[in-house]
Amino acid sequence: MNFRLRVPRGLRVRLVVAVLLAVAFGALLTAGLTFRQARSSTLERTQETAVADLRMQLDSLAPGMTFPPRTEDLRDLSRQLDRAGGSRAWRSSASYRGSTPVPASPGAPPVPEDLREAVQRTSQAAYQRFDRDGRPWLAVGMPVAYAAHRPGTAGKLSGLAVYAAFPLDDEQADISALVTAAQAGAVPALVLALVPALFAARSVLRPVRRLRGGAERITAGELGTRLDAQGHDELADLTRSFNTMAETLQKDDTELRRMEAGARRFAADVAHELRTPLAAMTVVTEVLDEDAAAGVLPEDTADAVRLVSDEIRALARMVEDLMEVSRFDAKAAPLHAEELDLRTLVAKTLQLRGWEGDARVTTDLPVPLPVRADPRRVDVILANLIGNALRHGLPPVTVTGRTAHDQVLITVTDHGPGIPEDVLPHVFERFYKAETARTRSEGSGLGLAIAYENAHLHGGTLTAANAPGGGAVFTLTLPLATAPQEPR
Amino acid sequence: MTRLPAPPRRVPRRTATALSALTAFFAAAAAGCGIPSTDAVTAGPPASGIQQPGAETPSVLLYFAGPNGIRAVSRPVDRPPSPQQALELLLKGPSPAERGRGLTSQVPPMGGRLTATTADGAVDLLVPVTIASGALDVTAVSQLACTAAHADVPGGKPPTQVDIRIHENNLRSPKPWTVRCGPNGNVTLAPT
Repeated sequence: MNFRLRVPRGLRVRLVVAVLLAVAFGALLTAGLTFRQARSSTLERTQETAVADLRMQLDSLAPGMTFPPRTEDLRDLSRQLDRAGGSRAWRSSASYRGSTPVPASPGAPPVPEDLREAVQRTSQAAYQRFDRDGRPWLAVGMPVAYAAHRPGTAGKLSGLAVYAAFPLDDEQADISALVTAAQAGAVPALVLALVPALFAARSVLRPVRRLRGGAERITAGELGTRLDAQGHDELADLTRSFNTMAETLQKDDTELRRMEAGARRFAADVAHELRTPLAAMTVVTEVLDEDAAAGVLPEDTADAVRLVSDEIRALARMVEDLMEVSRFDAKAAPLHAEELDLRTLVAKTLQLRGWEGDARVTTDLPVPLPVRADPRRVDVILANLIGNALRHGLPPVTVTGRTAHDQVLITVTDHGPGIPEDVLPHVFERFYKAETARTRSEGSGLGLAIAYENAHLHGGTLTAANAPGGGAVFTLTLPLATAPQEPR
Repeated sequence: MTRLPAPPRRVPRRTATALSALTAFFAAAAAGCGIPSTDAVTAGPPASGIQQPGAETPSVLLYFAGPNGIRAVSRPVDRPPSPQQALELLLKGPSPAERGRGLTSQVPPMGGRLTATTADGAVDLLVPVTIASGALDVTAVSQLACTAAHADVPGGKPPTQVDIRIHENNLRSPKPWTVRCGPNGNVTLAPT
């Protein structure tokens, strides 16, 4: 057996199909039992009536019979019985001492052998249903006994037996009508069953749909989502569990946010507290630097002073970067945007950082790149990207600018070995160390993170990738400023 | 520790079983909608009433009108009845079984008493109507005459030789209608 039933997938379809199957099964069972009962009672009544009619006729006819009967007498008996007909137009025949039954006229239906044999063996009346030319027939056989000498005593059998047969067409019609009625009843029952089935499916599916909606809202970040759980069924329990889960999730989320905010404030506070002493230290080291440069100090002391002042400058830069990061975290980074051409900005950055005319940095800026941006912040991005390329990659570093769709794309490409694949997703993270062995970098470790935040502040993006021929490619996109489309 | 074999996948098999059961059920329900044949089934005691040769029980013959002429029916009785008793049975009409065979009585309600007295080999039958007026047709006369002739008539004559003298208007007339019952239940005027 190689058939496979495709189970419907939807819960609604499955529920409805299950209910309908159950109803169909029940209806069929009920209809089947009712049908069998009705059929057997119909047939029993017909059989009993036929037997009773035949017995009554024979009881009435037997006293007048000449005995022992000749064939002529048997035929006469059959003729009278045929005329009597009883409840039905039966065709009868009579047999004496097991001879071939004599019908009233030729063409009467044959008597089943089983019935004749049973009548002779049991000496009792008997009936048999049989199939003749595809029609059901009933045959009744009745032996006739001698009249009793005294009332209440059974007479001996006379050897005369009478058979009557008729088709059960009426019963067949009645029973067919029963089947039709059962079918006519089953179809509306199924159609009616569709209504509670759909209701049941709905009552199950509605909470499920609400749960799904709730889960989607929580996924979208609405942790305050709660569902009202009515009733005491399993789905209500599930809804209550869902609410408990949402509550726990919200509590955890609040706790995490609180802790994160605390950590950020701590970093901001530390940076802020460090600024004042660092300013003082910077001033002092500048004086000492001058002294060291002037050769006033002993050689060893001068070296130490230079070392300390370098570290203090790095520390001051890192504190500044930390303050900047804190501002981003607090969403307090101001954007002083203005319309400008990015080419000017690139040139200014190169000039400011002393890279102008440096053979290691080439630019490829063929078209105007109008953007609306904060020049200081874009300068921070560019300086970080180029500085990073010079520090970690190999020259020449190429700065390319072009427009595409409604965006300005600036790529900074170097010719170094590129960024390892496992590092690539993390390059914009704070204090991420590509090489674990190198404990300190020249920068603060915050440069790329700040550049990334700055790009997003402008509504742009910053991505890192590797060029096919090696070398890291950083791509900065900023929205293209087209004067008519910017009503500001 | 030996590893047990993985348990068989249950759900598909159960589904298949349920499906095949359902299919079988539907098939059985669809198949049994006709009239099934049976073996021979016994249905009660035999009919009775045949006169055993040599041990006849007393019976009375009543004549009724049937589709093919007058027909005699035999009814068991305790002892041989007089013509009066036989005629009273006749006036009650055919039994349900006899009516089922199409037998009727053509004797009309006559609004008076029918009296039969016996003589040696003859029955005097007083009827409350006149025959000439058509109140009793020939079938009715045959029923009455033959029933009376086959009853217990003294004289030992065979029934066809018994004179039935019919007196009209319940008056014993000196010149009654005298008839005899023929072998087929038809009356003939008796030879005077």
